Amino acid sequence: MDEKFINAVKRGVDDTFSQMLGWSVQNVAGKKISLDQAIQEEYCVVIGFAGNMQGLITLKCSKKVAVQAASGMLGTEISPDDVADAIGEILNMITGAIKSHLAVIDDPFKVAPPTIVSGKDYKVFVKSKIDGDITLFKFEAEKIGSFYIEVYVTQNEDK
Amino acid sequence: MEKNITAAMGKAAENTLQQLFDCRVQKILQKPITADQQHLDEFSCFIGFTGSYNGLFVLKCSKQTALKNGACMLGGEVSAAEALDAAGEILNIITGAVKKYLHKEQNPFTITPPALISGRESTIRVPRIETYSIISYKFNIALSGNVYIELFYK
Repeated sequence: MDEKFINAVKRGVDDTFSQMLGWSVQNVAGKKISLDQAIQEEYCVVIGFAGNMQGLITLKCSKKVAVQAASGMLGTEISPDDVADAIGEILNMITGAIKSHLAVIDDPFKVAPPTIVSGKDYKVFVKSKIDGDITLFKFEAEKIGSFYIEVYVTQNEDK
Repeated sequence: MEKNITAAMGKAAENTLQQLFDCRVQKILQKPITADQQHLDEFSCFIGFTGSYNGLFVLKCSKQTALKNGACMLGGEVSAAEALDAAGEILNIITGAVKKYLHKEQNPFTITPPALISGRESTIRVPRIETYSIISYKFNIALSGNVYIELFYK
């Protein structure tokens, strides 16, 4: 993943959490990982994108972080469905922010709907033989906890 | 327009499964469902699409069915990871076939890479703020068992 995309991810996450939740988040790590190093958490949101660039962006977090984020957006009385909706919307906004930070690239991609996967014993993968890299970003929200963004991106050769 | 994609999905899935596995494939079910009526299974994969239509194609099956399908596609015993990959590839081929059925429509959709999920205890949902129609399809493949396909679209 090139430096421009990495910066767009960091800025997109920072913008979204500060504007939507008033959270100050710090990017504490960012590295290329292999498929078997992908993080497993109780909540996972996946958004696929396609266009000049194509790939997947995931947001993975604990139930505690997901509930705190949903409470921050919706108030105190929240159902499990509200939590799923809220973190889906957060990744949707992060993806939109990343796209806007990449705006120098002519229409970098179009975004598919967010998909929220939740449960205790599951794993989310991209296919095992991939053409591009997966980059893992770890973020810390003060007094709340950590969450992870994984990005798998390739240039679309057909474009 | 709604009818086009739901009919295309049914035909594309049935034909693709028949061609891939060279055996009897029967469409047992095609009906609209609500988000909480989704089928849960051990292996799932989904592909997002965006264009004139927006949504998700989702394929679900048991691990045993995925292993049999993977063995048939790859020619020999396969690992669980390979079987999950094969399930993603099946869905990829089906989505390509759906697009062919919709060739008369301008830019029906562009697809995203497949995401693969293993684990019976997982649920997949789209946010309620987005109002997607969901159509559930169930196919029986004589060789391997039942495959469930769900189409989320708007």
